[in-house]
Amino acid sequence: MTSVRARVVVALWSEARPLIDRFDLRAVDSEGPFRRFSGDAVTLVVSGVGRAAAAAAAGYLFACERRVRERPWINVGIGGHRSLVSGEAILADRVIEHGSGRVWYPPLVFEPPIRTSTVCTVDEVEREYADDAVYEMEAAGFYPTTARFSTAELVQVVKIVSDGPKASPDGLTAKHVSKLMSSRLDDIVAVIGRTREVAGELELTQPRVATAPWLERWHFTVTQKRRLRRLLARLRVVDPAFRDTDAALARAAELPDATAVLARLQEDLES
Amino acid sequence: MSPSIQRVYVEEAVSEHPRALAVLERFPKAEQISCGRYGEVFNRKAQNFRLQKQRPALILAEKFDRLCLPAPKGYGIGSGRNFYFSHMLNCIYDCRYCFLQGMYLSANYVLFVNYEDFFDSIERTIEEFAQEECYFFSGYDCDSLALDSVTGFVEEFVPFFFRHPRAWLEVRTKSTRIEALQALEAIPNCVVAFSFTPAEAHADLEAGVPPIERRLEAMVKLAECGWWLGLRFDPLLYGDDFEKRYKSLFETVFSRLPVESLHSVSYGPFRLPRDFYERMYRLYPDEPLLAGPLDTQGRTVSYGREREMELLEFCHQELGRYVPEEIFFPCRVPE
Repeated sequence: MTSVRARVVVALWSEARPLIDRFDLRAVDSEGPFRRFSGDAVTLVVSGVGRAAAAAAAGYLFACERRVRERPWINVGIGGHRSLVSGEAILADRVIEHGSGRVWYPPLVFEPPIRTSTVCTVDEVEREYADDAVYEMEAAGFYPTTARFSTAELVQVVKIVSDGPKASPDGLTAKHVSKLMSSRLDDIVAVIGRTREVAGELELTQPRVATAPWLERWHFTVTQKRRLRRLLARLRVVDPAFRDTDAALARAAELPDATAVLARLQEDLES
Repeated sequence: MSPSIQRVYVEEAVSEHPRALAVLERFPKAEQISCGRYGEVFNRKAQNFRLQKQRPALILAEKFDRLCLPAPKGYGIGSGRNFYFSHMLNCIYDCRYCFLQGMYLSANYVLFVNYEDFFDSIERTIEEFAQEECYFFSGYDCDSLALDSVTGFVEEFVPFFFRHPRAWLEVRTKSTRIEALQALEAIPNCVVAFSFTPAEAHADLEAGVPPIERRLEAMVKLAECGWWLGLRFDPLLYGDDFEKRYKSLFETVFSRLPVESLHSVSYGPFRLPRDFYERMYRLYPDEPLLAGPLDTQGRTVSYGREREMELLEFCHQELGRYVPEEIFFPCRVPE
């Protein structure tokens, strides 16, 4: 199982509560502009209602998480649909911003554990349910924002149907929302888990290069640091000797400066 | 066997196109998603080709312009004018050296269903160069045959070229899906060109590609049906023992193929535009082919002139043992 944590954005406290319990999350940073919770598998932020709030909360969470990229981002919440029954869970295959007509298509690289559907983000509570889509108020703010922080395959939107033509959104209480979320918690957790696995796979492909011992020994400029990192990453792949940092350092021990070190590494790569 | 397609994006403009409907019928369980223009899905930034390759979707689209384009310089199998057209973007195989990984942001397959517009464009090109022999390459942005059971490419394009005998069609492939070609009468102006790398490279770098022996079997069958064959040793891959590898490959290939069926043999060293290489390296930093020693000159990444010459000279000499030089066409990409 991967150790990559997912970042979850929910609009309402009542949507957050079941996830906080399930993932055993603890509140962090009570002074911040959004309520934030953290655990081993998930960090979660409660954004408030609407596109702008979702985008702002996602940006806030990204900054709080030291702007580490390529992490899973999941927007979870409730929405209305004209025909799906209350409690149905869907994964967005298309996110439409109703006001502007902008559309995003979240790519999916795993078998979806739940049905997929269009999600349509509106600015006010939907009562018409005109199209075959889940109507909600955050996804179109969340998606384009978080797709700047991670590759799109790691950004997903999960919605639980809460209302429709036969069940007015006006009757929704916090208790009912939490109950709906709880009823589909396994599905939500499955999506989070699979997205984390994909992020874990991606992380495994990235080279792990220990440059610190080199930087301690010689002075490298910013450009030279970048080149050092790249050369060491490439050498680790083509020459097993470079997987042992101490042994690699020993081979360059007598060199006077960073320029000579880089020249030697380049030679090693080409030999 | 067709690839498993679980998601199909359909441009609204082609949702009623008979060819689109026929393709959709082949994937009844696939999720269908309507989209405006294919670029909204395919060209979006922040996509990861490597991840998408695990589960590529199919996009059914219409191509409006640039349907038939001049081939890159140095690309050709004879005299005359060289053009390429792409009824499809991307490939079901996963070859680590393939430039498509660096060219496209998405690993989804795009199928342009408006073949008639391709025909018009090709016809106009043939008319424009009425005094010259024109070559049209179909396997530049995709494998021409690998998805033929879905695209019906052969069934549509081969008869079209039969009606235009002054124009040549190159069907380039690593696939053994030759049923559609076998079902047709061979035409004199079509070359079915198969790409090969040595067995070791096939094992290490060509995920999903049929074994060399099966491709050779397919070639033999096509030769028996009267089709012109092409051999494409492209890219030529350098390694400590490249001489041994290519010698063995050429021995295997020419022990099976009837040389009289060969229309052309082309070869070209591994080269990439620099920005493609950078994107590919970021996707596959763990790939020795991309991490290993490569030379950047201007906007091109290659093995460097010396190694390229070693490769080219050796392969030219070895190939000369089997086939006449008149049908050799080294791919000479300008510096």
